[in-house]
Amino acid sequence: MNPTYIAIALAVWFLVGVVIAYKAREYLGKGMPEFFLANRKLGGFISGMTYSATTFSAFMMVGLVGLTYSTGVGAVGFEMIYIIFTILLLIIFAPRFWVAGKKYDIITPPELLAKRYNSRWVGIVSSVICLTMLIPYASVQMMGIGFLLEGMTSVSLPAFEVFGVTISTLYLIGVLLVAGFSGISAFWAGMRSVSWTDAFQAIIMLAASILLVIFVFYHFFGGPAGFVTEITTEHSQLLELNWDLSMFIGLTLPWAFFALTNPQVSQRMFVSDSVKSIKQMIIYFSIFALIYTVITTLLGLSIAGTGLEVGADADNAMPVLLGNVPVVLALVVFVSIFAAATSTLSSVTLTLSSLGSRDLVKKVKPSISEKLEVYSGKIIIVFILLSCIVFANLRLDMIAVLSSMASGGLLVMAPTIIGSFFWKRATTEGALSSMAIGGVITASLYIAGEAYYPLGWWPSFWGLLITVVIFVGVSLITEPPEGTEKFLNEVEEGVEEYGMV
Amino acid sequence: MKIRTLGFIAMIMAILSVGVPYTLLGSIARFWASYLYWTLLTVITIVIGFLHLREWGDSK
Repeated sequence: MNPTYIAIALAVWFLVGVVIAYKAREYLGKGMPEFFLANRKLGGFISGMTYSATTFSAFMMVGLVGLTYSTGVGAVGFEMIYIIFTILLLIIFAPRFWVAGKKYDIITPPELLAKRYNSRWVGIVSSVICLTMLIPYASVQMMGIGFLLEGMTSVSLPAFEVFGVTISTLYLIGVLLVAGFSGISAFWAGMRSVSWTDAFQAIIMLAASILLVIFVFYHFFGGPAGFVTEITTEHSQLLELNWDLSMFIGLTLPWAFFALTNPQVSQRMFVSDSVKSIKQMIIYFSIFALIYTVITTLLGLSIAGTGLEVGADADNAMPVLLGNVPVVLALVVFVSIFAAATSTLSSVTLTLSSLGSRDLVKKVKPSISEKLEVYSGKIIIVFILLSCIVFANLRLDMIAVLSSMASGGLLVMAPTIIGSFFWKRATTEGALSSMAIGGVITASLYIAGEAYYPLGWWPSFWGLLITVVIFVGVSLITEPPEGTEKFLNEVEEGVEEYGMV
Repeated sequence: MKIRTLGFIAMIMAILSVGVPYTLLGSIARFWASYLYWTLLTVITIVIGFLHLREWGDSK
């Protein structure tokens, strides 16, 4: 594709996004809750859209499409189970996060754990796990766009070397564009600009995917019925479940608890302005998630039906498809994938910077003023984006390992988070030991590789099992921290008072 | 709907979303098998969610 078209499409999108972020800045007040949580004043629609745009990254239109194209219906189950559990977890936990956030002026998920377990170390360990796991995940968003830009354009710009690392110019442009836009939307007005631009991006993501699936159905198959007939008769193996059970469980487990363990989404349980907005957030997310997942998986199956030559790498399925649709449609979809990547990256960056300033800097230097805390958060945003740019340009295979490790690694926080609201006996020692030991074991298994998975089961499975055993076992032989009863009673009373039972 | 009921629903969903495709539907190469089953299970969860959320208060 002519790179000028791509540049024009991106410029238009960039301009709209920057204007939205700039408008959001006009509403920015002072202080930590204002910068990192939009002062807990987001309405239902914006809450729902920022939740959706944050949770659905470029993985959906590239990774999930490729996964469905190559492995069939197992990918549908993997993603649908994510939606099922996210809805149930949001209904159970969003009221408790929201009430605790308001009551104790909590800004980050690790801060919530530190409060419940009455230990700054619980917050620090949890923050370190999040930072370790999410920087590679954020880098992958940049890498995805770098690869997409390289794959979709017909020109080749010269590569150059920096410290012995060969860098492709087009790839670097893709990486810098994602970093730049994410940086602007996070840096300018924090959660307010991120959530507003997220809403804009969520709409683009959904609209583009709907347009694409309609075009593909009618252009390649003569309509939806033709698509169903083609897949059922010529590619029926894709409708059979051929995922090995250990792989299915290994991939699905971290996804099922994603809403609790990924701080960039769980932090969004703090931001709504009312009970009505929390309700709307869950409803909008549910509808968005179902439509987006059905479309992306249908696109994956339909690429198999088109007979287009994709090659060995399934992640090329979407770029190849975009090379065979009208330019305008391809551009809209390209921008939507760009939007998915930047909306996830800006949210992850903002959340990690809140973790850094609130749960690490503030804990090391408790006397720091709120103004300096926000300032340190902004410096951390720049530092995180620079780290991600370096990571993305190294193009290490290790990044792929680290990014799959991210979801499994974060899963070790699930027992501690669930126990914080629903198990009186949960103790500080149980939380700390289960997260630390579980995290190390899970990470070691991922790094060791598939050949070392015990009994063939994935690290996420072993990690969760070990974490639950340690968390329960250690909690039973130690005493719950001071203030546990009070915390639990106050949260439950608040939930009841707001009528969220 | 009480939290205990929601927890019970989550467990039922976990069993149904893995158990049924891996025992009954996985070998059927039709859209109405695993694909539709998982989609319907998600729709059922959304409906349960909506019904539960209707009970939440709007004030304050």
